[in-house]
Amino acid sequence: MTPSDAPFDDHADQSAQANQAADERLSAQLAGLRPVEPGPGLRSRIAAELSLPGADSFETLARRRRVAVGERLAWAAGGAVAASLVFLLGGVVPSGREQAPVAAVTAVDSVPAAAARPSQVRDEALSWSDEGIRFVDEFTPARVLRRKVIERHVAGDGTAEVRVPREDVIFLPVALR
Amino acid sequence: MATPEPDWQRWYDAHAARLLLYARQWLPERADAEDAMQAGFVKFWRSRSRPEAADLPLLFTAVRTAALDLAKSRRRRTGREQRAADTAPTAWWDGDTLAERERVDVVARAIAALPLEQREAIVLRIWGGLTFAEVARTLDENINTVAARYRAALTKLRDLLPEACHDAE
Repeated sequence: MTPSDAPFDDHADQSAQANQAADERLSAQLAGLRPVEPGPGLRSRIAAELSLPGADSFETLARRRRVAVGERLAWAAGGAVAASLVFLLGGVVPSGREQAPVAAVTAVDSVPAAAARPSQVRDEALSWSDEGIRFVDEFTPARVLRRKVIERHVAGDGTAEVRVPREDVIFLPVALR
Repeated sequence: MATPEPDWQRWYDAHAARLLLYARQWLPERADAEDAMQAGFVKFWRSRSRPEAADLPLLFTAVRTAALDLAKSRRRRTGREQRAADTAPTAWWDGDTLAERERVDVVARAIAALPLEQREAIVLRIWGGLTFAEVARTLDENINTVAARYRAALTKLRDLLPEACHDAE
């Protein structure tokens, strides 16, 4: 700032102060006006509407959404664990799902019932296929895997073997973004 | 022993008139503005069963949203695009005497002539009783923007209003 600017700045300051004072006077004046009150019926209409079982509050909806997400995550985690178990124990645990009729029975002789009871079951994987993402329900996407196996049931004494074709459909919950 | 008033009634008593005035920025007809205020108030109360003073901007926002929605549907129905801006506001404020009512009429016309953004800032600040920060929160705007609009509105009003209105007691 040069000394020659000083008078102009003083003048600008005075002008700004005058404007500010005028603004304050005007706003105080305007604040003195009383807005019209609503009609008497509005209060009773609001009371009536609030007494109705209306839509849930945003807080309730948010809480419900959180619970639903938690449940879905729990189901997803459970599904993932179950799917992992199928992978890990696939050779040991027989699956009862989508069992096809017996395809082949060999060496069916008259054997004692106790001996004919299968003591060992083995899965022989034939093929895997990935059928992509599908929605299990409205909100739960899952990757669908299809596995074809042959179950081999061997009788305790090894005298009989039953082979059963089986198809497993595995739903792996996934998160979509 | 008298039954205590429900909380919403205390909020209604404290803010009804200012909310109605705010709604009338889009809905000059009093009945329409009351409808919007009812919708906004009920929605706010259902979303905040135990509101605090800091929630007041949300109440104004709820009424604003309801008023905008209703104004939009009214415009669709009537086809009058500039209805809010073109209609001279009537009875936005009370006036007990004839002189007061005349002054109110002059002020109302001057405020109706402001751009909507400036009008909102001045209505929320002066009659809504909100701070600049609360006005900014209501409008989801920057506080400096809101303050600039408010000052611009006052400057314009000083030009629009006769000197007598500035100094009247």
